[in-house]
Amino acid sequence: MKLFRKSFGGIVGFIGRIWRHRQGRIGLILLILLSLVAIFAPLIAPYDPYDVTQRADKGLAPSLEHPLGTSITTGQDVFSMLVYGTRVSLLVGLITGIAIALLGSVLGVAAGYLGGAVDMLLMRIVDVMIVIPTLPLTILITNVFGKSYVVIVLVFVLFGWTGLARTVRSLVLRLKNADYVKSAELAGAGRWYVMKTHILPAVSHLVIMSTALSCAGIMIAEAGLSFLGLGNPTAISWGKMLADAQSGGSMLFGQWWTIIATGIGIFISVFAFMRLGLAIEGIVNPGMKGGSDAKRLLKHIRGRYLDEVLESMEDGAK
Amino acid sequence: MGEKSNRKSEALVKTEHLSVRFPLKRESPFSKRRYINAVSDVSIEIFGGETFALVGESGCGKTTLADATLGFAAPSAGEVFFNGEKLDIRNKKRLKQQRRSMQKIFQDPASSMNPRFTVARAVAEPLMIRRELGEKRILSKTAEAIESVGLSSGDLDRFVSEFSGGQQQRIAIARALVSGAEYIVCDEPVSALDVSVHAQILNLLMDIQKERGITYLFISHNLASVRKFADRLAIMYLGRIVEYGDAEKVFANPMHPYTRMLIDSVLSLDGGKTAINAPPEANEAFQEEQGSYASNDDGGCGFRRRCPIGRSECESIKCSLEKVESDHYTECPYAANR
Amino acid sequence: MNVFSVRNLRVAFPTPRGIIRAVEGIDLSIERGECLALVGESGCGKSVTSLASLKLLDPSVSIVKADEHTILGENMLDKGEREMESIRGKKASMIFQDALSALNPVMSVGKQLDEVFTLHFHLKKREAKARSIEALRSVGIENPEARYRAFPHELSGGMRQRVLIAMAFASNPALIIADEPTTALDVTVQKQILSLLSEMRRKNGTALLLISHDLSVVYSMADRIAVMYSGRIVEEAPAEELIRNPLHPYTKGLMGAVVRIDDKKGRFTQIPGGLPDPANKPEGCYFAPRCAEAAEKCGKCRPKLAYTGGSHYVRCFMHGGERDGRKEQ
Repeated sequence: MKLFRKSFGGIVGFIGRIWRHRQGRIGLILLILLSLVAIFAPLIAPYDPYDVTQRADKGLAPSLEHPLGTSITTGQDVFSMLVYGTRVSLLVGLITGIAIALLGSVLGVAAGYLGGAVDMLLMRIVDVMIVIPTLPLTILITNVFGKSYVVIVLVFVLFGWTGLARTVRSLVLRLKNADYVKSAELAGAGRWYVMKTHILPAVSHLVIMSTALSCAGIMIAEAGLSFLGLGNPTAISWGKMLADAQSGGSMLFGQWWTIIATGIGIFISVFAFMRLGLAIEGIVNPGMKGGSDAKRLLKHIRGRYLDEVLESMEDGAK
Repeated sequence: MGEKSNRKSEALVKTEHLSVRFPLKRESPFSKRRYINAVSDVSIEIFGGETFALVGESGCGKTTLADATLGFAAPSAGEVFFNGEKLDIRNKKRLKQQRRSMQKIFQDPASSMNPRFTVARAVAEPLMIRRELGEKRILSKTAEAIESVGLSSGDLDRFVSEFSGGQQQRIAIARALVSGAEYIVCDEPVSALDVSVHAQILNLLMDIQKERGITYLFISHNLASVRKFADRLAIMYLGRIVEYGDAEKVFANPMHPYTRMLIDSVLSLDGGKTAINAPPEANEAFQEEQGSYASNDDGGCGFRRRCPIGRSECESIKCSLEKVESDHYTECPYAANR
Repeated sequence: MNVFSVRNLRVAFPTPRGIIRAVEGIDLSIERGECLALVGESGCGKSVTSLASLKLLDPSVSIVKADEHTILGENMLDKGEREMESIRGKKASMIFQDALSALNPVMSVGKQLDEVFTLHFHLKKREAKARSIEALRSVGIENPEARYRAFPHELSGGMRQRVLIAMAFASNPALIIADEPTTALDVTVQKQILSLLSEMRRKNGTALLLISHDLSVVYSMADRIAVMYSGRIVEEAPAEELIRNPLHPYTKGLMGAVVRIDDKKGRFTQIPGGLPDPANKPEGCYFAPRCAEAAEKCGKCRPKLAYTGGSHYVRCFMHGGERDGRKEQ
């Protein structure tokens, strides 16, 4: 029954809508490119930065052999580091983002839909989590449990789910009392049906949107932590590249290329996630989009047909 | 009896001394919990095949009363009967079965259907929930329902949000029809719409009733459409029924001062262009305070402070519905000798 | 003198579906202290007209054009947003249907009233507060000192509407535009608000542009009524004349839609169908597809607004739709 399946969502349909959205398409393309770089890093990078034997002299300027020069502290090929660094940054961003999405939405839905004691307990936990100073605690935890990405991801998830859980909860509360849910209940709908048909689809759009935006935030946070030396010291990540460049005094010796290249890497990935998140927001809340469409059309009409339109609207015009 | 020939003698929906109360927000965690009586001591009978109107201002408890007849609001006292059988909110399984013959049409059609749904899905949802019919049967029933409300089956795969308010209300009606409901609560079904559309929707509801013998509980605050639309009615004020009975009898001989106030509030095009006479110092300041703490427990008639014929006895009077004539009751003992 | 006048007002919105012709050449003029009502279904362009009257339409999404547009004799056509801000609220103000969204939810109603006095009259805070309390009292709000501190959600619908009215009259403007001021209210409250509005208007000599979809709401208030359909005025006459002697079939339909309290049980008189798609209007008279009296000509040509005597204009071929009434007078 085709008629009934054609609803707002459907994963394929949803991606299609993102694709048709100008900003969404930019985000999607960039993200696919970044993923390809991460997956095929060994093929793209001219050197293996993890291989100690492939190191060159420290702090070389960009050349044909080393397109972005070599690092000032270890003499690794910067371009290769950048390519391999994509793996860490993207992986940490995605895994954390998805984990937050799962935890936040499950707890948010539970609080909103079950209500009562569950709601009470979860919301008190959220209240406590929000006032905890995150950074000092993160430093403490990584020092105690070791500097590994597993720990970092866990810490991010631990502190990251509260905001999403809150928004999901309030959305669920609103949907639960919507007239159309009442109407479905009158028709005999049970809890599971209401959840599956009316609540989860709306929640999932919100979650996808906030995940895209939180991935961007996490990638920046990860770079920050690595820069502070809290990341895994043996892994190559963009944050660590910046930290090494800083400690080795790249700027001091005028070797700006390491810093600029890494910065561009971070910028592109954050930019991609942001575009994607904003595009989804525009699709999910149609009230916010349309403006740009109308403006473009208006410009078009102003340019050519303005007099014609106005004339056709004169009283008594045929 | 003419029009009312399809009316059965046994009430389809009946409430007996029904009260529904909601807890008020406590001023401090230590103060005693106070309640607001949204509905207090209401006994009504709605007969099969008739249109029963519930009239009153917003906040008078009419929606709560209607929701109680659908099993959405738990009675704090008294009982609700549907088809002679008690409606027990705790017996979820039985309630689910009883609700199969109930539906509700909401004031705002845009919010009464999931905006992500196509017309087909919105209308067919009750059938899809029950999973008794095959897809083909569902589809043909849906198309039939959408055509019976004056839309075309070509509209089925458009989104509900693409339609105007009046058309959306038609879709909501189609949805109620497809579920096979015999009792439909129409909660202000036209007040969000233009007057020019009111007639279309109300006529459609009347036609459907004539065809299928459906019973309506029609909630409204406009008495003029109630007179044309309803067979029997109840006028509600602060949770109590103040006048009740056959619609034509009530309109021909309105007893309660509140009923008369509502009738006077209807704007018309008749007569000369005169200055508007506001209802006697109706004083919403009072109504608002009273509305949020509506309690009829303080003794006396709830309407006394807005009443044009109020007297000192009203402060302590215990009101109850008294018979005026057959199927016409009012709470006000002084109405007759005004 | 004219308090407000607009000639040949046209408003269009470009959309992906086509150009929506919301208002097509409307003339309105309101004398000092007069009340003109604009009546029509939602989507007929009446609200757009009211917004355009105070230049409140977003120029980045709409095309607005008029041959003449004055408020108190002052030309509005070349006024910029800055200048309009000082005109709105001071010389002309507006009352909206949905008081809850027209008021700032996180600010007490008193503070919002104060702003009118501090912004437009540069009063000191204390003076503004005194004037605000006076304004609240004047719209029949009891205990205004206490209400001054109330937030919008703490007030009933009727009460909020009173606050909006107090704000609109606060600066004693020459013109007030009220867009469906009573639609969201109960019938009893509706009547109170209407009587308050007409009393305030009489006291202050304010001109009023009253917009509604319900003829019975405007009849008691308006001196003149203009009926709008699909972006055009189809009939305009003094209120009494229009109701006693409606000429346009649409006006008759709107009158039929007003249910009278002494009507017994039975079917409602209805106008079939709905407004035409504003991006794709019919070739002839816009009302022809819904009109019971439509002749062949009505489907082909568009009637003009013809003068039928006694300041009564109508756009219908049954009543001289070939003539252009504006040129006759």
